[in-house]
Amino acid sequence: MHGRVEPVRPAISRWNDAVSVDQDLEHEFEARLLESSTLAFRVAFGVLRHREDAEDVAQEAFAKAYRSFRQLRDRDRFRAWLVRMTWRLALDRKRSDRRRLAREDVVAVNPTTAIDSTDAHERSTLLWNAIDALSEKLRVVVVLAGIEGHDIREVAALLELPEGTVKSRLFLARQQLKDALSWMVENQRKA
Amino acid sequence: MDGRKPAEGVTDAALEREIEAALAVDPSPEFVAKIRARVASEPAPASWWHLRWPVLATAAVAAVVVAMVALSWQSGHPELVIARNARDIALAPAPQAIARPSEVASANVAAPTRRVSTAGRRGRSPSTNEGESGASEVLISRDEQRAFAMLVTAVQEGRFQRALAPTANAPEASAEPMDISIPPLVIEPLPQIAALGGEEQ
Repeated sequence: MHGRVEPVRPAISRWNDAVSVDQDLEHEFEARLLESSTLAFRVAFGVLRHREDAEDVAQEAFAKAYRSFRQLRDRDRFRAWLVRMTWRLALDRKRSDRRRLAREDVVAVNPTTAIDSTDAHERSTLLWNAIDALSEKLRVVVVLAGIEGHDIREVAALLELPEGTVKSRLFLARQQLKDALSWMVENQRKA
Repeated sequence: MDGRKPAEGVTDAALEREIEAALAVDPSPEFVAKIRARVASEPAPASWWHLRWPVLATAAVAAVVVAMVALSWQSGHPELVIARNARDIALAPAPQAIARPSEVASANVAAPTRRVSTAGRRGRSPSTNEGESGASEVLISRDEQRAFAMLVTAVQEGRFQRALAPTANAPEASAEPMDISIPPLVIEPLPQIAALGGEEQ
């Protein structure tokens, strides 16, 4: 203000400013989309393990993010919000779509299929079964830590949790996974 | 995990590699284009004003409504206004007392005054008092209330007759019947008609 009255700007000027701000927002959103689309997809895939469903859920999460993008312009905040929203949407989709049994790469519980498949497929099946057996709090930590090589600090930032909490959850999750996997491998060998 | 053997040959590093490999799934090449198309069908992100103007408008309308209701409520219930002034409280009779003067004449004037002040102090609505007393409110202007209180006081102190005496005597004096003298009516035949009647005969 500098102690003087500013002249009233014409409406067309304000309109141009608004358009400029909107263009800036569009550019920022495009940047977020390019850097976070795979992250959102993998988070959804970690829950659904179905490529098309994961893509649908990630799209929905981005659409929601776009609607609220003025409050999510900060990069870290955007990624954290996107991860949590995608995870929640994926869980909703999974719960509401119990009838769908077909999985793209992994059959959930089908020992016969696992035995007949290749080793890699077999290991993947066992691993996903073990991850599914984890509680939701542990599962989200394991999935996020397994995506894009996130370390504990990054997972804590994405979940907006203390690093100590993430560390202890990750430790517990890995212990449970190792136990479950060894037990499953043994059972499979016996069979 | 109870009753199971501990993990054999599964190290943290191996487990991490397995998990990363299981999650290393890339979306289809059209994935970003699909998101763009989905986002394009969405309305543009709302601006600050667009986000908040409904809230502001609602708050403003609510404030105006509350103010109007408060004003109309106060103007429609003068006893609440009277209750704010201690001097007026002493003069204000209860609505029931105004509605039934015969009861008021035998009642203490101070009792209804306490009732009105209590209603004002508690901030209750008049309907609450109606519910408690079971009588309907009678709305009378402040001047009439004051005049009526003075009248009741005058009746109780026996000044009523003296106050009314000068005005009551004057009409009595003028109300006495006056003698009216009405002259007797005399009917006389018109001279022309008498003359005509005499010619015809």
